[in-house]
Amino acid sequence: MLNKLKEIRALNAFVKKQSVGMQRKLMLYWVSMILVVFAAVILLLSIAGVFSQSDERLQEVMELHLKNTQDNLVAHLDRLTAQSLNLSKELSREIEATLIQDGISLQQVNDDPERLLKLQQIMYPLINATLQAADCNGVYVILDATTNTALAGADHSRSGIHLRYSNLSASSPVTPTVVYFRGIPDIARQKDLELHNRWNLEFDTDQIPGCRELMDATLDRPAQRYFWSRRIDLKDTWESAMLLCVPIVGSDGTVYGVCGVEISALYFQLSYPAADGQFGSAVTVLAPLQDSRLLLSEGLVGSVSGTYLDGQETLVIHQGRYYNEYDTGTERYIGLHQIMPISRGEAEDTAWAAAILIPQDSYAAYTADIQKAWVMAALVLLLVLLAFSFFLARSFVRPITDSLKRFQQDELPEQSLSSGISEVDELAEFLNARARNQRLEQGELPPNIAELFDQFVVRKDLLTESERNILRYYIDGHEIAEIPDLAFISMSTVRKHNRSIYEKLGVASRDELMLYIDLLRRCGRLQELF
Amino acid sequence: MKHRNCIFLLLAVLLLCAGCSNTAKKEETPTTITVWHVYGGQADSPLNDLIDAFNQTVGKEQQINVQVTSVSNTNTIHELVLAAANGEPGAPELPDLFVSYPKTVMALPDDSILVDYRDYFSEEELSAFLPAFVEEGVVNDRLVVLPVAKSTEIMFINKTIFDRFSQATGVTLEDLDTWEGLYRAAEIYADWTDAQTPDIPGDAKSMFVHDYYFNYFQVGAESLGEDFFQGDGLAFGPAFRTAWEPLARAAIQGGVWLQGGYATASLRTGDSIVSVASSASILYYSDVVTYPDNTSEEITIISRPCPVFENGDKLVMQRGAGFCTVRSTPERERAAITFLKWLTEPEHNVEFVTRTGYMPVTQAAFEKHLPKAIEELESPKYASLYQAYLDTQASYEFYVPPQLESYLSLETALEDHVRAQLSLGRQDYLDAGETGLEQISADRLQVFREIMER
Repeated sequence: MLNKLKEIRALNAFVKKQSVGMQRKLMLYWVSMILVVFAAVILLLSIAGVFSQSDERLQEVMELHLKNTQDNLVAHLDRLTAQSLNLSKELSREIEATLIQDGISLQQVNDDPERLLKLQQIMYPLINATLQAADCNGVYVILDATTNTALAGADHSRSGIHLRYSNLSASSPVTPTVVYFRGIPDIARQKDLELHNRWNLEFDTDQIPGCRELMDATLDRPAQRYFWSRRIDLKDTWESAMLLCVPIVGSDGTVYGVCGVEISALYFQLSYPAADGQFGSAVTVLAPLQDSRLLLSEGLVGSVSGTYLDGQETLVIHQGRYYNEYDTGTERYIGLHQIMPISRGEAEDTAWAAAILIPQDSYAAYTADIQKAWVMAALVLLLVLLAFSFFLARSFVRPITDSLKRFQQDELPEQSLSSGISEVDELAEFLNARARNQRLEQGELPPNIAELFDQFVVRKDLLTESERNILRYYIDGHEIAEIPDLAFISMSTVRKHNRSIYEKLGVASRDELMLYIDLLRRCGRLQELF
Repeated sequence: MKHRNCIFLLLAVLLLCAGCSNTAKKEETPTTITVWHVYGGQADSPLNDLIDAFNQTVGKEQQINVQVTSVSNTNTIHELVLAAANGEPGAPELPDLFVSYPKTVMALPDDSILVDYRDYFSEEELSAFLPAFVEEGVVNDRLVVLPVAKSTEIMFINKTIFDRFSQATGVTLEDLDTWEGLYRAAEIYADWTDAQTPDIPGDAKSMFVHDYYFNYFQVGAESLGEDFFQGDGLAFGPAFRTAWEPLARAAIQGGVWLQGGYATASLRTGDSIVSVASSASILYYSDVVTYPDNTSEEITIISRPCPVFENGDKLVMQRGAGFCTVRSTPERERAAITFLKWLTEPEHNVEFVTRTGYMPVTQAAFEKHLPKAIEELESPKYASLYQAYLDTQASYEFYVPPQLESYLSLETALEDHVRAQLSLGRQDYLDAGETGLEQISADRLQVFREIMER
């Protein structure tokens, strides 16, 4: 670890020593700044709860949905219970009236198919009316009597009628066909009803847990004790259903039998369609709750479209902050549930829950969508900022690099050229000045002066031989008065030559001529005049 | 140049974002398609099991979820489909797939609401089906009914009770090979059962029940070389009388079950012991008969080919509806077709048909898979059915009913009125002290004919 740290430090030092381009350095500063600001923004957003918003929204939506669903379910089941209790009272009255009329007890109806048929004929209109009026797919009545007590299964075989709708469909409650599932077939023939393919004369009470106990109880009134059975398979059919079991209580407290309504898995599925929302398909469930498990196989499941639920699963519940997770073992669902009491006075205390479930996959896809959008937006923002910093750094450095290029190409103008940045201009001027001084220090003439000298030297070729002689005398330091003697010419001739020399060399006076000669001597270029 | 590159890069990134932001949720959600079918009714539905198998395998792979929203019969589906197609108040929404006969399609106000299977099946795929079956599903030059299973009419016999009857009276199973023989046996059965309770007169039991008298008269007339239909009505030629007379004699004497409902119901209660019905009704025959005193008896149901007339051809009704696919979205249509292709693959098709009492629809299924599947049948009831099926195929010709717009109304009227008139005839006969059989039969035929021609 320490070694690694050392290595990193060494690397850092090395990088520091390396000369880095100004643009790169500038960009590095920009990028660091952008990243810091970006991180701060992300931090602020997450503190503000922008990212957990979908969880919260899901919770809100689900809570509302659950409340609606539960209200619907409670209203639905309450209505059915009320209708069943009413059916129970009417059946009780009719049965009692018939028994009194015949002067017998219910026990004496056993082994008497004629009397059972008569009782069923009396009960049929009430059952049929309840089926027509109630929001259910079947109504039944079981009398605590059987056609043949001599049979092997007679103790759990009970006479009764069970009417069911056969052709349920999602949106057509108008024309359902009533089939005769249980009961004496004579009634079906009288009423022109089709016998169910798996018709039986009597009920098998062992198929309905709790039914026997209810019939054996002594009660004051039917509302004292009633219950919804767990979902049971209707023998030999592909259907399963929950039965509401309400006792038919006689005036002396004996229970004549059990009656109630049936909600089949199919009927429930059609009555509670899946709500397809932005988070996925929400499925309605009414199921027993046991040891943090939701037993779908014993309850009812609404339409499962949009999910892979098949209504047979046991869901393990994991409580969460915003919502619960429901695990089938292979699939996961998220949702909420709420306990709702649907039975009364039941010995076995089953907690029933209304729940809504959304496939976790579809919610995950939804949040992944949002995440993807966030990541993409952040990425685009970053890219834009990086591009911006690149352009900015480049345009900032460009005058400097341009100036540098010009320095390198020796194109420095004498007059300072504006680069737009005062520091750069100053630097250029400074460098110019320094270069000039340096040249002077090395004895170099300033170029314009050197040019004057050059012209002067070139012009001397225009002079005649005798004019050149006279110039030489001047160079040697002789005065004008000494020239006639030295050159053996008159003073007037000297003057004439002087005029010509001044004219040709471009000077105005002897003093100016002497200045040139003096300067050329100083520059060591005097011999060029010879 | 550099600028341009940068802009390009930015544009590319933005496009990428737009491309990624399309809804991933859709991909996660299965396409749910709904089905109304007739395979199973209120009993166990083998098709529902197969649909579960599909949902768990191919469905899961391709994100298709097939949901059965109604299992009923073709007549109920016919009513519902017509109500929905005509937009009647309270009508259900059409499912993606429903099972029907071409007659339902012909009654639709606009059959373009259905998918033409030629859009989804290649010529090669369609050539795998038996051509006659495909031909049957063509309405107005569009293939709208896809065959998945075909049935025929079969005679089912409660052998346990029939053996008892046979021993007592000498009537044999072979006597039931012709309609004439069958109705004679029914008359004997009525006498035999009536005689068992000498103290109660007129309580003869019925031996025979026919699911569709319309089919009986139709195939009967055609097998005797006569047209059954004439225009939009019935022909009522001599062959109709030939079919009527033995039926009426037996019915008036109480040997024929005349209550409505399916044949399976009266066999279940022991009210009759021989039926002619679709081979597919095998699913609904119970192995137990329950009597009014709640005693029950285990019985053996056997199958034999449908009876024929002594002077008639060996002709039998070919039945079996097919699947119609309702036009919706391309995804849903594709999902529906994927399911249908899966269901008509020989392997699945044979599994499906042998559990429901049907025949497969593709050549490969018939030749390669069916014989093996029949050998493996464990239930003697099903083994007997498929033996009867093979016998039928060996010696009978199949009759396919014509596509007539008035077909369904004629069928419904005939079913109701034949039963009603024969029941009234039975009552007349009992009231007349069991005399005047021939006259009652002729009178009832006259009344029946008048009603049908009205």
